[in-house]
Amino acid sequence: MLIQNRRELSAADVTPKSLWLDRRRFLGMAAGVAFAPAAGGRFGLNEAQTARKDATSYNNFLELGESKEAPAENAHRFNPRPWTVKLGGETAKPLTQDIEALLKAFALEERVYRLRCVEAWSMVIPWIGFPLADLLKKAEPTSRAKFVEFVSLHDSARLPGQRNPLYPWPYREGLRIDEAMHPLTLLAVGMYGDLLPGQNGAPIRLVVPWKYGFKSIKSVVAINLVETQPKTTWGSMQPGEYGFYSNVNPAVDHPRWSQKKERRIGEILKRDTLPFNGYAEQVAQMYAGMDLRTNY
Amino acid sequence: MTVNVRKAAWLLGLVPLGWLAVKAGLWGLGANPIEFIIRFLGDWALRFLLLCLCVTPLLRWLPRLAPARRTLGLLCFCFAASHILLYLGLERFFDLEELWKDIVKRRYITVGMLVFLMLVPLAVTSTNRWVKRLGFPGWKKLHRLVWLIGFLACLHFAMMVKFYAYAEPLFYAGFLLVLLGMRFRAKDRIMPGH
Ligand code: HEM
Repeated sequence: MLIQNRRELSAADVTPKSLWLDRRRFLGMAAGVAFAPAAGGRFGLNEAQTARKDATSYNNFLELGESKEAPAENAHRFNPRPWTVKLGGETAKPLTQDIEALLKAFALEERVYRLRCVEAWSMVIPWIGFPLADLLKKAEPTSRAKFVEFVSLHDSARLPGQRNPLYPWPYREGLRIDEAMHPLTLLAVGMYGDLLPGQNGAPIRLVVPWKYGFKSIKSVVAINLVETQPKTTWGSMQPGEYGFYSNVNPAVDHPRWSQKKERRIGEILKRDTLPFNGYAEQVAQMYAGMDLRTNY
Repeated sequence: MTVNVRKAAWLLGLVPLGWLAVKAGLWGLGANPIEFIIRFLGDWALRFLLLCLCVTPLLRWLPRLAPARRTLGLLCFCFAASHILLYLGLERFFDLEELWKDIVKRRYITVGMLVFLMLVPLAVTSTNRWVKRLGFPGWKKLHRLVWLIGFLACLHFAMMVKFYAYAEPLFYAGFLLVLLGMRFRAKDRIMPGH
């Protein structure tokens, strides 16, 4: 498990010794101590999981390179320690927490989710993490908190792709407060029973399974509760292509990709894309009365 | 001799395919092999077009290369046709209605289709019979389309890449510009003062 394909980096390659020891603690959890395995869980999913090798070598993470392969190749340059996450804005109790403390502060559980990229491919990934709502509740959002803004690490030494001046770094994303509090919305710290590799957004990332993958921001350092809809990276660069909601919707095409079908990584022919990526039952009511064609 | 140059040029077409087979066998084509192959074929269609356009300036020193020009042009056509066939079969399942929607809605597909539609008459009229039928000046005029094809192929490439990842298509477009510039200079030499 640790030494696989040459190109695939194990956590040991990308982290200092201290964390490496910590990783063993995490693997101890993986043995069943501290995170609840997904089997038959609340959001159980009976679909074959994507091969770990594919999920960790086919990534969109511009901060580590433009191509799909580059993030895995460059991940050794990205040390996700030290790391703190700041939670602020419209909250009664803003907090700043070290990643180690965060890892211990919440009950970790495994969630097997579909991931649907706006580029019309998809995967099924076993994440390990905790509901974002658990963290937000700790900070006690005020009544003015209508949206949540997420910000990635801005450090071009660790994320060399940020030397590209054409993008407005750091990457930003946002959710409406009810979306952020939804039980499906996860802060992931691991996948496939292991810590998150750099290319998948170490050490902590958002996972919102009913939205296109770019909403699930990687390597988060700041979470701000705000009153007005925050600006998002793709939304401000190409507003006609990337809406704020970006719910998976086979009926609304992206200008460059038809969204009707998707290629599940590992398969040849495409399959039909489901509304809300198959999570309509859990999330559709949040958008009742909204025109999802204009609010794409 | 002519035959050999032509054969060698056709063999050149096997090089990328051989490389693709070796890569597939030894290292695999990554997590999304279909996308990889479609892009690979598109890349080589454009590259053979550029190679084809390199032949004319080289004729001054290597006149024997002349027959390679037609073959390289046809290789461009073959790679482009396979590029589109795979796209049609594996991305759109030969669903012509979907394809039509793609052509209308997705501008990079519109451009790709235009490029292909222009490549077809050039491939068809590549034989000696057609050169005779059209008369050399007429044939030459028609085949000037190749420049438009080249630039539009670069545009097609640039339009499908991610925001601002234009380095590769720009490189090819620059290369085309240099080749085009050489043609104009050659003309000036032949017709001084014009
Ligand atoms: C109906 C005609 C065409 C269609 C539908 C088409 C479609 C496509 C598609 C789907 C892609 C890849 C997009 C992706 O993977 O995200 C692509 C890329 C490309 N196509 Fe085409 N294409 C057409 C014609 C052509 C022609 C005639 C050429 C060249 C002479 C060409 C050259 C390229 C190149 C260079 C790329 C970029 C490959 C890369 O990313 O490295 N295409 N095209």
